[in-house]
Amino acid sequence: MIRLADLDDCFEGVIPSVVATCGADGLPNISYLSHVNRVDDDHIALSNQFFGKTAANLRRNPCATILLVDGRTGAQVRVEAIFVRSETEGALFDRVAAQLAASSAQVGMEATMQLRAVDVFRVLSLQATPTQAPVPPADPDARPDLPALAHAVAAIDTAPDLGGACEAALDAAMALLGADAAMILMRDHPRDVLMTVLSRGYETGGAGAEVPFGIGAIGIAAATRQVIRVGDLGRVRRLNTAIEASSEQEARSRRIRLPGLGGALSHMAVPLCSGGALAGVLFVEARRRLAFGREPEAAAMILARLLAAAMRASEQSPAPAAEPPLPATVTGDGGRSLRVRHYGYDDSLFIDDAYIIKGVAGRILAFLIGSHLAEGRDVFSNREIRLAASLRLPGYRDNLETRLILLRRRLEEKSAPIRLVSAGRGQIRLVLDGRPELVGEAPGEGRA
Amino acid sequence: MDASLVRFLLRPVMILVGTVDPAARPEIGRGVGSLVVPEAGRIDVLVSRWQWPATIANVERAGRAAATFSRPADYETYQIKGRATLRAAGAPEAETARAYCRDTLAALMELGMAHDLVAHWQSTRDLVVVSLSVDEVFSQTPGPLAGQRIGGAT
Repeated sequence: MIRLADLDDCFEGVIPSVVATCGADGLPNISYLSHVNRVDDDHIALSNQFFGKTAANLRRNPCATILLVDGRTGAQVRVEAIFVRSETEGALFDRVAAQLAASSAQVGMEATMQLRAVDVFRVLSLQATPTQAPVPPADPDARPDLPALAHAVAAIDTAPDLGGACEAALDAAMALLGADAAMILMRDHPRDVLMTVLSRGYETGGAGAEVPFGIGAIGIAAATRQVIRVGDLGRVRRLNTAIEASSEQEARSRRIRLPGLGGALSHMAVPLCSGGALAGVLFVEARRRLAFGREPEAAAMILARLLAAAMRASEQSPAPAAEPPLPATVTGDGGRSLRVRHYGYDDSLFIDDAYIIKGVAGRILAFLIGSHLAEGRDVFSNREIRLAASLRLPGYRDNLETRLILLRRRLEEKSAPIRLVSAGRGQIRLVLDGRPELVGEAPGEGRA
Repeated sequence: MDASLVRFLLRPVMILVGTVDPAARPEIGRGVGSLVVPEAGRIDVLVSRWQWPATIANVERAGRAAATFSRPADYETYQIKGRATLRAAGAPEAETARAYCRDTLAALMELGMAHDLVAHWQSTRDLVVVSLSVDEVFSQTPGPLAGQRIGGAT
């Protein structure tokens, strides 16, 4: 006997399903469906964008027949169902609306695919359609295994710092979820923008690359706080994939290219939420179709919640009670000069004409270099950085630890002559391959 | 039937057949090719009785059907409703079905579908002809005009 729980691959929205109803005149009506969702063991929900005739028929005669198609094998299942109710709000509606927005954007139909209602049906029977297709080879078990998940959870939880927790989450995304590439993006308060912090599996790291809320799977996941899964990207290429990165372009646009996996057929964006607050997004990609089904989604949600909690905790953990005295170190070799330009209007920062970063991270780096020049020291506590950064942008939420990870990674990816390294808990060290000269607006100028 | 609709129906489009049983329960089947007879206001849809027995039984009993024709590349879709009769498929119809399966497979593979997936939707075993009078034609392309009647004989 077929159960709804066995039909996950029919609910991926890869191959359109079909619904048939009967009109008052006794005439049949058939309509394609972009999305069918499993509600529970006995109910399914259909997205209703505009199928007016179907909706009208169901109000007179609630009998419907639905043809589901397995997105992995192509096998068809006939569903005999009874229309129960229509929902225009609530958790189910929000989930379907977000998924629809993401998949419609993939095919450029977001304007026509506005969700109007979710129609819920009780399933009376499920029946496999006869087929002449060859029997497919047994599908390898795509479920992430629980012991591995427990191990990943422990690795994130016991990481020595937030950077370690992020790395452990990326390890799990690759090994446990079977991603070919993964990245962690942070929310850049107070803007509705996400910034790439760490990534795996891409040709370019992309630390500091931005994604606005509402744009693409990542932006929609952030805006709606829903997991967005697309199992068959098909011919639709990611917007950025074709654009080659170059330093000249970066310096001109002050924009870092978002990494993209060439040939990706599946992706999933998971909001990093803890205590009702959005900290960022975990994004995974794979070169195979339907890589991220319901089970990998559940595992990713567990990892995402834990990582978001770690991000939140890093902001709340008190600074070490007795901070060790900060050593005044003789830095640099006094060798070549490093030309550092900092523009106050967008806090963008360039080293030797190479664009590094803008925004709060740019301001932090300018502060560190400025303080180094003024006081001759190279070790800074997170607490003083937090104070300095927030003084010049009232109302922004910290995320300082995450911003420092991003900044550190960005400097590494640019092979910049100025780098950041950890100097023990709650402290960071500025490493200079030369003598910096801060030109343009000094960090103390600009915004007050 | 206007000429542009006839041209559309001759392309490799996905075909669905909707019917209703005596208890007013709807049924779905797939077509594997069609023959348009514009001068008779008729379209003959080829269906595997082996794969879709309930659909064929409904046509025999109720004598009415709906069929949709949808182009997979851009979702352009039309639904035709009317009276339906049944007849056995001969060699020419079997050849039409074979050509249809070949052409739609090529069109779907161009969109990235694997051969093995498409095979589930293309049975030609025990082929019959559902002859449908074009009484009503509706546009079903996703968008604001979906569901609008655009033609037909009645």
